[in-house]
Amino acid sequence: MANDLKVMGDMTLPGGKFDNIRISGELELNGDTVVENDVKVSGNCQVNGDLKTNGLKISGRCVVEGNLESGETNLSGHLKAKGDISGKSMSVSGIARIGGKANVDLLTIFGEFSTSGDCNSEEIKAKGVVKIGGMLNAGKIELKLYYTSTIKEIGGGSVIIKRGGESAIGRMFKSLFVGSDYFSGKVECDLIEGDSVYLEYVKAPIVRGSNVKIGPGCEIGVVEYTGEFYADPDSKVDKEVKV
Amino acid sequence: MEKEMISKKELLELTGISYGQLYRWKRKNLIPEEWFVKRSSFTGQETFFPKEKILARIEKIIGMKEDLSLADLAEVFSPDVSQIRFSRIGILERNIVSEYTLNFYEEINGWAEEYDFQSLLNAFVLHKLLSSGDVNLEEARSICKLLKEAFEKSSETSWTIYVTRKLGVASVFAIETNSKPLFEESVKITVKLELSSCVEELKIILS
Repeated sequence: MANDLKVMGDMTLPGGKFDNIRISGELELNGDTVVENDVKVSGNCQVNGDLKTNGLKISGRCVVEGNLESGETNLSGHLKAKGDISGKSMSVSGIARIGGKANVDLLTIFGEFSTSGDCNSEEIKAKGVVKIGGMLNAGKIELKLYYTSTIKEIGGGSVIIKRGGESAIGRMFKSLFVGSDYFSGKVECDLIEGDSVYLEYVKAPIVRGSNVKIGPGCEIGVVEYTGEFYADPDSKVDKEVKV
Repeated sequence: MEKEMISKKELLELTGISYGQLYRWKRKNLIPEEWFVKRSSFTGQETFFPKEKILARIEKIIGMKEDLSLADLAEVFSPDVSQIRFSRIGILERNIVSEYTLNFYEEINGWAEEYDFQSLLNAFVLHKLLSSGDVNLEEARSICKLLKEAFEKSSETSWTIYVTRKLGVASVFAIETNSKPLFEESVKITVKLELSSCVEELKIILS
């Protein structure tokens, strides 16, 4: 017999093992929780411990005090994990704040995504604000960012960073952040290394790659490349070296 | 005893691998995070690797790439060993350790029908050292006992075994791999064996 937990309204329970969890309301789980199938939240879910599940679908808010291990995560709303997150895929439409590191194969972000540690992915596609305290290590990186984005280091195969546009959605983001240079600031990185690199409105002291293309609005210290190099006349590159 | 280091730049040039490959292998734990050593240099921050280790590892990855998936490779290089048991007969049949070594090990630890990975590793290390003639029987006995104790304290990959000799008296040490012990000048180091490489070797033999 399936051990399904269905919550309508408010409930506080100890953690434990479940087959499915369905919340329409508020659920607080006090303890590590393992879910064989899916967790579906329409409302509020707080896990005071680690959460391990096959699938996590959030329409609302989910807070995990420990680590989150979820095969497939679909977030429409707010996710906060104080520890690390790992999984096959995560799609964020809203805000995801991770206290530790993120190891998610396929990461799709529309909104805000932040980690204090490293972020490892096979593919990351983001539109919005990305803040990564450690290194972003991914095979394919495609970012359309707004200026409060900071990524300490980037390493990977194909790296594309562009500026988010002044679309209606962009203006919506702007209203959430104070500061008029939301659309005119630059993404800051300490180091970017990749096979093919294309950057727009990025400020970085060192960029290394096989083929490096510096688009408009960049402030780069040194570019070291082995193949081809191009810099938009609008950008500033202090030094370029073919190695 | 600083090991020779190689910069990331030199490494890519020397091996012909790309940034994408290097970072993918790092993601898949084929190259341990600890090997990425950041140092300040003339151009700012640069990353260095232990030269011998990284070159050997990259050679192995490239060599094995055709036969194994990245996940399989990670299994071979990962420090985690699962609950496998090896039969005594199987060990001898596959020539993992010699019968002599196994008997020697059993003199100290008792006969066993089955071996877990750590006991097998212990015997494997003895086999290596005895065959090479680097240690005598007395030293081998000390190493065997010390290894057993070391494994109880922490995983097999964090240790390096040193055998030293001073004025004809030998001593055996198990020191955490990332430490840099300083010995007196009059002390001769006859054996310095990193267990992590023995683990790798053993895993490859077993696979």
